[in-house]
This record gives sequence, structure tokens and C-alpha cells, in this order.
Amino acid sequence: MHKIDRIVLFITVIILLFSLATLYSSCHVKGEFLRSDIFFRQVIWILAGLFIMWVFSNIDYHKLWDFAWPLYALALFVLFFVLIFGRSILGAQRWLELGGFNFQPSEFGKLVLIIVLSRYFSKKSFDELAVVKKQSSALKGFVIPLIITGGLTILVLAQPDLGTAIIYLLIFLIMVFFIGVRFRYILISISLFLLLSPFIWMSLRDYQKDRLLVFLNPNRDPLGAGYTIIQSKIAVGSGRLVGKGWFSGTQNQLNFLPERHTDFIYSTIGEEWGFLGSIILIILFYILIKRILRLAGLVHDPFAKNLCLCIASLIFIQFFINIAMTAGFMPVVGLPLPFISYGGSSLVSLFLLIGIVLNISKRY
Amino acid sequence: MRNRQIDIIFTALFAILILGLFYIQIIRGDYFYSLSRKNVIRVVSLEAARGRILDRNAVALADTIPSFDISVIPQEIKSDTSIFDKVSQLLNIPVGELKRNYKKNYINAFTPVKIYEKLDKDRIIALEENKFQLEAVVIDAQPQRFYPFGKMASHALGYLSQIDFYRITRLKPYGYESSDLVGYGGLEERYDLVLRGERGGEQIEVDNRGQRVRTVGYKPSRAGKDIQITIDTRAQKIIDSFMQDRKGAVIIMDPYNGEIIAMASYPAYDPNDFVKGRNKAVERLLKDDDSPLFNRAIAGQFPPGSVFKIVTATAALEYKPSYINKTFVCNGYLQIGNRYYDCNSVHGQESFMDAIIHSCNVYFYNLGMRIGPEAINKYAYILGLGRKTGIDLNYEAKGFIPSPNWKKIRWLQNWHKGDTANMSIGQGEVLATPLQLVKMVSFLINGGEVIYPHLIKKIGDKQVNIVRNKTIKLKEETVNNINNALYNVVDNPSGTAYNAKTKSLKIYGKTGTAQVVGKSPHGWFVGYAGKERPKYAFCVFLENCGSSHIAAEVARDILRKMLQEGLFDA
Repeated sequence: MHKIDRIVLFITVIILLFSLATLYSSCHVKGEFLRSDIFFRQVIWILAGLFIMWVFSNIDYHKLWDFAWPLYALALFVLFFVLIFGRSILGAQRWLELGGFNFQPSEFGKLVLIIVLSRYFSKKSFDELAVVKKQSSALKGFVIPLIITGGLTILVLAQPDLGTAIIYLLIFLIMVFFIGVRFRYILISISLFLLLSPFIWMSLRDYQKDRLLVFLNPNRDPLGAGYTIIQSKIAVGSGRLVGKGWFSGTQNQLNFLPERHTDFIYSTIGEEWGFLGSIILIILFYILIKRILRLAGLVHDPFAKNLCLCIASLIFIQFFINIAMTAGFMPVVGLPLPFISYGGSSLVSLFLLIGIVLNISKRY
Repeated sequence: MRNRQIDIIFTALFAILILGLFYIQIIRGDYFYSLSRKNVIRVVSLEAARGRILDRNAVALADTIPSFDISVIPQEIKSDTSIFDKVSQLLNIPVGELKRNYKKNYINAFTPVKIYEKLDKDRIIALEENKFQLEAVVIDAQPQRFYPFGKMASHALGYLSQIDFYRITRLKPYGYESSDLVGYGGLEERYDLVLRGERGGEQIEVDNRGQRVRTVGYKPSRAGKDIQITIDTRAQKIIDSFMQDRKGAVIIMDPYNGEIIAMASYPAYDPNDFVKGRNKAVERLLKDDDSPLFNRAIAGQFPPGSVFKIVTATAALEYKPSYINKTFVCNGYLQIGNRYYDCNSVHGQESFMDAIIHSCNVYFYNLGMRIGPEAINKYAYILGLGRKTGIDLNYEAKGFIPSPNWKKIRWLQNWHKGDTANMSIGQGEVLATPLQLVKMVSFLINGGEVIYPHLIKKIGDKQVNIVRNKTIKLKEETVNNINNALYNVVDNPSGTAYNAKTKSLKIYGKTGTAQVVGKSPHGWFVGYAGKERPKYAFCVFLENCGSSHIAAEVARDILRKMLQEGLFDA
């Protein structure tokens, strides 16, 4: 038995403080604390998240192995259910109401996907994995996990939630890459994706098409779909080296950015804390992710290894995509910034994952 | 297991993220910073209220009133164009015009776009009452020029219009900008620097809806100074009422100090038309063949006709006082060389006095030839013809007095006796403005003191003093004789202006009928009048009216009306 990984815990707490400071500022409008409800709700979510983290850091992660397939079935059911009965917000059916709380099943799907894939790739012995690596069976090493991932992805895509679907696929790709599937398969699947892309394009909703087109040329529609990109890019860029200072971001404080406490929270950081603040944020996440990857290298249990890898990847992917889209390097896909964006579902599931990591760190 | 590769890929992607942020925050940071400033900082210019123009009794002739501009914020309306329909209904303005203005003035999503300018208070009320339905609409009040009397005294006042290329190049050093309104013609132009005041500005921070959050910088506008002028609205109203359907000019002046009491030039224009920018009314004014924008009173150069006989007579008496006893016989014409020079009648034996009273041409042909063209020319200049009077209005004309030398140089021709004859009766090349003739007759009553016709009385609180340091020396005898003759022109039943004779008013004057090639003659009546002592010098000029008779009649009507209204009371 080891001690709990204090560094992961410590970094998580620092990131939380960072989050609260930013959210506190972005809840101000014209110098007044107008959106205090958002801030205090987030505080409650964080407390709940910390509790869940504590619970899961004390639950033996092996239990997850046992529940992997039932959880997968549940996830499929819930995602299907939300398509039919879910609450729709902004044209997307993503929400389920559970005892007064809005709950996002696609977040639950992330957890389940991580657990199921980790179990799938670790159920074989180490020797058998070597067989997979030599690609005796492309079916077992690639196609079946793709189908497992695909089941969840298609349901999420139907909501439609492009961002989460991309995350599912990326987690899958990183997982198979990590396991050592031949590059050939990865390449084949990517080229398949490219071949299918015209059909995917046709199946995209209008607003999604808009977002892609607007990414290529934000001035296409400066008041509509391009507005957020332009304004958030201005916000981030205008922070320059040290930022405009806490509460002094004009883009944020004067309402130029919609959705600034959810997906675009980084624009507040970029504007008020500047390049230095951004670097600190990136370094914090870098340490966190490195720490979890290090754990993946240390543990011997392949299930734990896979879990750590997936969790690190999930945090990284969301972090990278979110910052890149907020700074205008990427098309806008609605993804929250881990730990920092306002939103309970994402926050709780992240805490849960950190709880798992902490539990693993105690047991390897 | 590909631990290392994953590690490298993640680290590389983190590095890319840092590089990307370095690019937009450090390398292009200043650019984005300026964009973010542009988002929130607006400079609102505060128009300065233009100074008023008041008449001598402090009646406002040019006033400043609030007018309203309507703007919409593009971001607020997005693609909902029904707002234009609503505004159009409330204000009764075609929708097409509003949309056209919107397209024309669009700057960016946050800056309010002006869709209609210069509405008056009554019309804006309808919009103001429905404001709650029209969140995207912004109403701004601006000071605007207003001329309460419309056409009245329009040439003395001038008008306001967008600065043109010629003026902006000249006035830039004085802080004028290309969007400024400046005075054109009249006092508006001459005293523009005093009247215009100084535009202020306000830097405000706005939110995403373009609404004010706080003021960052403020410089108040400084209102222009009021000016008070010598015009008396009562007199001005009278002369305008008699000139409505006529063409010509009327000036009434105080002969002792040069104050212009009233000045009208017709056809006139309504300066309020120009306030609304280029429109149909303005187009019509600019195209009108009768040039309504032209100030005939100071810039119109016309042959003075028989009014000029005052010059010839003065010249003769100054040279040789004994001319007062000279007689010539009028047969209705005079033959000079092989040409015949007409008279208006057959007067027979005419004395000096009779010749002025009857306006006998033949007498003055003879008299002029006796004293010669140089003498007439000299006295014309002494009496203020042939050069500007120096009134405080732009575009004053000089008029013209010919001379033998001029003819030689200009036309390479010799001066003939016939030229002298024509000149003696104010025909030929002689040109004068109505203002010059008023100034000329005032010498006859103020003892030869040179007065400077002017309109300004006060700038702000400061009295404007007109320098008076010159007199022209005329013999007292000369002045008395001519005054006597001018009195008889009106008083004597055979006088040419007997129709102007008015009870309880002493009117002195000289008529003039100036021949114009191809058109009916101009009519003049120039003189001065008062109950005992002359109080006002006047000039009535009617373009192509046919005869001086009509001019004398108009002058009489004006003077009688002024008498009725007590303007001749001390």
C-alpha cells in the first residue's frame, strides 16, 4: 500500500482555486456581482465533487471492473432515454432532470467508456496483449472496441453533441494507440473517416456547419455564429503579457462574450491574467496530466494502467480543445474547460475520475 | 505499451498551445488590445450650439433649437427588419429611405447607425411614446439652426450648409472639420468664427449593446456667441411685405452712423431649407434663373440711371458754384456728332434746379460735357462709387465708374463726347450697387462724414464700435442746393417722384430709370426721409420694373407704413 498521490490532490485544489477566482470575476457585469447565483451554485458543485472524489478514492477501483458491462448497458439506455425524454436546451437534447438537478448523460457516457475500454483491453493476460500487438486479430484488437465506442458515440451524436462524440472517438484512438495496435488500422480508420466526411457533413445540423464555416472565416457572419469566435479571440489576445487584471477584462465585464462562464471561461483568464496566467494554467494541467501518466507507467495492473491513461487523455483532450477553440485556433465545439468551466455534470465526473486515480495511487 | 510516445505527443501539443497563445497574446497582443478598446470606447461628439443672431431690439432672427436624430444599434435588431416598418409608421417616413440610410451609414455591429436626421420636437414625440417597443432605437438631440422669420432678411443672414472644398482648405487652420456646417453668405458666413462655438466630445465606455457604462473623458462643448445686429425687425418686415412678388432690393440705413436698419433682396430664399441638407427646395433655389441666392442689395451691379445725376450735379457745383444759375434748352433730344441722345420729355428752358426735379437728360448731357468725364469720375469716387462700401458681408461688389483712360486701356478706343453724355446720366458703363447709392445720399445729410454701412452691433456682450475718422469736404452751398432739389423732386407737382409725396413726412429723393438692352428698364428711387430732420436713407431698386415711377411708389408705401408704425418717431 502506498500513500495517496498528494501532488494530484494538491494540483487539483490549486486548479479549483484558479477556477473560483476566474468565475468570481466573470460573474461580474459592469462591476457588479450580478451573476452570484452561478458562482454559488458552482461552489456547491465543487463541494459535492470533493465529496464524490473522497468516496471514490476510498472505493477499490477493482469494483469498476465488475460493474463495467452493466454500466455500459446502463449508459446506452440512459443515452437512448435522453434522446426521447430529455430536456432540450439550445436545440440539443442533452439533459435529464434528476430530482431537481439537470444531469448530462453524455458525461456519464465518458466515465463508462473509459471503464469499459480499460477493462476490454486488460482482460487478456499480458501475453495475450502481446498477441494483440502482433495483430493476430484485427477484429479483437480494433473492430470490437470500435463498435463498443461507436454505440455510445452515435447516440451522443444524435443529440446532437459533436464535441462529446469527438472526445469518445479520441479516447478510443489514444487507447488503441497506447495498447499498440498497428498504425495501419489507425490510418485505415482515419482515411475511412475522411472518405465518409462528405456524408458526415451532410448529416451535420445547420448550426454545426455554420460553426465549421465560420471557423474558416469568422467574418462570414460577425453577428451570428462568428461573433463568439471573434470576441473571444479579441479577449484572449488583448490580455497580452500580464492581462488587464482581475475584474478589469472589458470583453467579459461588459458582456461582449456570451457563455463566458461555461465553455468560454478561458477567455476571461486570457484577458484578465494574460499570457502569464495562461502559462500558469497550462503548467498546472501539464503537471496533473504528467502525474497521472506517470502513475500509468508505475502500476502493474493493466486495468489500472488503462484507466490512468484514459483519464489523463480525457482531461488533456478537453483542455486542449477548449483552449484552442477559445483562442480561435480551432472550430467551436461545445466542450467545457475541465474543472474551470461552470457546470455540475462535467465537474462531478472529473472529480470522480480524480477519485479513481487517487485510489489507484494508493493501491499499486 | 506506448507510454513514451503518448508522453511526447501530449508534451508537444502543450508546447503548440503555448506557442499559439504566445502568438496571439504577445506578438499580436497589441492588435487585439486595440480591437478590445475599440469595442468599448466610443467618442461621442457634442455639437456646440451656434450663437443666435438678434436684431437691434433683441428679437432672434436666427435661433438654435433642438432637433432629433434617430439611430438604431445593428446588434440589437440583428436581421429583424420590422423595426424599420414601425419607425416608418410612427414618423411617416418611407421605409425604403430608412433602410437606405441604414446601409449607407453602417459602421459596425455596436455603433448606432443614423437612420434619420433632424426631426423636430413634435414628430419625435410619437417615437418617444413607443420607445419601449423599440429597444434598438436611440434618439439623440442636436442643436439645430432655425430662422423664425423664414425668408425675411435671408440675404443679410445667410444660411448654413455642409462645408465645401473651397472653404475647408481655407478654414482648416481654424479648426474646421470636413463634416462641419458653416455659414454661406450673409452674417452667418462673415461671423462664422464667432457664432460657431467649439465642438466638445465625450469618451464613453459602452457594453456589448452600445449602452453607456461610464464616462472616460469629457470635454464640454462651448456654445457660440450671440451677435446683435442693426436690423430692426419691424422695418424689415415692412420692406419684405412690399417686395414679396417683386425683383430687386431695398435698403434702409441710418445715414448718420451707417447702421443698416433693413435690407432685402428679392427673390429671396428660406434659409431653413438648407438646414435639412440637400433637398428639392434647395435644388430649386440653385436652379432658379432669377438667382434667389444672390444678394442684389450689395452684390448686384446695375446702371444707376438718373440717380447718378446727383454725382454730375455735385461735381458741377463743386467745380463752379455758378452752374447753379446755368440754363440749357431741352428739345427732347441732343445731337452729338451724328447721334441723337434722348430726353424723357421736351422740357424747354431748364434751370439747374428744374433739371434735377424733372430729371432732364439734355441738361445733364450739356452739363457733363462742360465739366468733362474726369470730373464726374473723380466725384463719383469721392461719393463712394466704384469701390466697396466695406459693409460686413462677403461678396460685396465694387460697381464701376468709367473714365477716358480706362476706355483707352481696356478697349483701345478713344473717349467720345457721347460717352461723357451717357456717363452724366448714369448710363453706359456706369454700374453701382444699391448699397453704394444709399451711402452716397447719406453724405448729403450728415455733413460729409464718411459712414461705413454695417450690420454688426454687438458680439457677445461687447459693443462693436465703428471707426469714424473721415469726412469728405463738400461746399455747404452745394449740399444745400442739392438737398433742396431732391426735396422738390418729391414735393414739387412736376417732380418725378411727386407720387411719393407723403403728409407729415419730408422725403428727399432722386428717381432713376436705367435702360437695359433687350429688357424693360430698372427703376430706382434713392433718398432719405424724416419727420423734420432726415432719419433714414433708403434705396428702392426694382429690376426690370419698367419705370422709376413704380420704385417711387413702393418707396412711398414703405415709408408710409413705417410712419404708421412709429418708426419715424424719435
